[in-house]
Amino acid sequence: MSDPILKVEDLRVYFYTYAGVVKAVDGVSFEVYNKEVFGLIGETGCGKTVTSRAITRLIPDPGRIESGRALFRINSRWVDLLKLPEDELRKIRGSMITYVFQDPTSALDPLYTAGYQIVETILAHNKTHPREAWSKAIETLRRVLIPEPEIRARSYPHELSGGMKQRVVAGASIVNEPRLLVADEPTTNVDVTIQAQMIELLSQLKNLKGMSIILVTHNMGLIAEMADRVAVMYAGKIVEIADVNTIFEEPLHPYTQGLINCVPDPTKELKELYPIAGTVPDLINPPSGCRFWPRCSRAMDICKREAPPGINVSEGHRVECWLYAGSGL
Amino acid sequence: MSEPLLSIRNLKKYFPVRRFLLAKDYVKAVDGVSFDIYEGEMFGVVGESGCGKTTLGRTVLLLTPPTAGEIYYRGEDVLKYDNKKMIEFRRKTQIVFQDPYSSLDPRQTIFDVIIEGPRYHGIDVGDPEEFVISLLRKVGLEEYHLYRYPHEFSGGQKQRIAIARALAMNPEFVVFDEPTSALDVSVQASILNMIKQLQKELGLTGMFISHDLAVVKFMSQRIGVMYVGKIVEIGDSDELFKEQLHPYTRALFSSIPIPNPQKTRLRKKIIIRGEPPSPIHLPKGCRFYPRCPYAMPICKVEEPDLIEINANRHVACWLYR
Repeated sequence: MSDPILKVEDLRVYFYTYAGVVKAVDGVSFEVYNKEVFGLIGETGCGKTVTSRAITRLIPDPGRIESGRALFRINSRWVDLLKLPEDELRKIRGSMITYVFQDPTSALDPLYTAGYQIVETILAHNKTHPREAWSKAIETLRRVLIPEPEIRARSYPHELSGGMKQRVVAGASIVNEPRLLVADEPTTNVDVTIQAQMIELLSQLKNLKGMSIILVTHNMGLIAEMADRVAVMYAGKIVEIADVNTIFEEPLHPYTQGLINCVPDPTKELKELYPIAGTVPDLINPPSGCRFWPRCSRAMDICKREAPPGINVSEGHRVECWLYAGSGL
Repeated sequence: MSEPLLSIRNLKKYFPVRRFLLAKDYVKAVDGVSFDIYEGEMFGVVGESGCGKTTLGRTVLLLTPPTAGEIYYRGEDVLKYDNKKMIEFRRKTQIVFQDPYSSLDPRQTIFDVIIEGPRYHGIDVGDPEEFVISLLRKVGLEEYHLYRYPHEFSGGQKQRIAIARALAMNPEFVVFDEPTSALDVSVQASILNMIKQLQKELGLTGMFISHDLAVVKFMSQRIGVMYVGKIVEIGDSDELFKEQLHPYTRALFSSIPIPNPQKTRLRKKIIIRGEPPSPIHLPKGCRFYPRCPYAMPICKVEEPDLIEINANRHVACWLYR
């Protein structure tokens, strides 16, 4: 594996609501390497989307980035995206780091044509003649497998189907040839046959352009299909990071193990599924110590008192669990 | 195999959409579907969004009147039922809806939610509180939940309440319409286990609707695959996963990501181009032919019927004629 292009260190994002402070992301660290697909998996409300957006400070009120660093490599220089002035950051957002959000309908402006919205992205970051930008937009629509791109470029979002809209969004996000693409549940709103098309498209773009992808999803199948390395999030923390085969074959954290066992595998004969007891905790008053202990079948006394440290069990495999204390590298 | 509990024949459900002043178009949500569901089995219906699977579930229970077609329950024509028989049919058939957040009345306590049905139908339940508590226990809830309101429960618990409400009527046939698609995977597993166990325990017959192939396979003995208003293939669940006959089924099954990195990356994928047609303007002939890699001249002209390949497999495709 080549060198990292993004290093996130001890990221904390809190939301100051009337009900109390929601610690949505509470001390998250990870690295994204060049040309890899980094999967961020977890259930609803675990903080995976907030984490992926905090990298470029896309956190709405009442959220605040409390602490942490997000170091992004530009040429051979590291810049901290969380400290960069807003106008500098705007040059990076949309050109070097781009997003594909979950809901393509709200990601596109209903008043502008698909082609115009891609042209806008080009012109925001490049000095190009608008006519040139238009032909580049059509070229991009062709690359994301939109049939008859010349006609479709003049269509408004409501004239396009869900799958087609998602491809327009994907087109806008790759037109400036980003170094890092953040795909947040890119296939959740589309059907399986369209999802298969999206997976193929993202893999092709990755290989062609040599970009890295952060894939945020709750779908274990999608992670198995696309990711090189995986971070499992639970209640605002990354509980385990490893390469994709290790996560699926030798998961160490009881939550990761639970997550893998509770998803039905269609290639197996199953008599029963193995659910995880209980529900996701409230992040205003998270459990003391390890946040998973109330649902954990192997909880010990120390788990209730103290949050487990990150333990590097082997090269590239880190787990936050007391069961492996002392077995680190 | 036993006698079918429910048989539907050429069932159609069209929704009118007005165009301009007088011209009318129809959304052909269910467009000529026939199948049998046998006593004690769970029949899975799988398909992509907008293929008509939810409408099918609702039409089968007459929650919405069919445009055309026949529904037979224990051999009797349901559409010819008189009032009294109809009420009895309503009791014997129940549904669990997709979204537990909107299918429970926020102003009713759990006790009221569950007892409302038996009260209406005048079912003798003994002590009503005891009765509801025993149902709550059956679905994994506790006695102290009895007088709480729906907003006090999590999504998974709400779905358990919706299941208890269906069971309160002592039904023979239950439609489960995507009961876990609004839930997280860790909660989904326990609900699926519970439905499976209850089905065995109470000898329920059911229809399980989902877009998730892995879930449908886990839940059902036989599966019908829907594509834009039609069932294109019906087969035994395990056999269907081993071999698919219809090109659409084949593409659908090969596109589901399998939660196993090695298996999922090594297998051969069939990626079909394009998107499903609009159910208003359907192509002439087979509705899959514009996307089908094996399309032949006849596919553009004539629609294939669902034909029997063997006792366990029906397919609607000209390749098997």
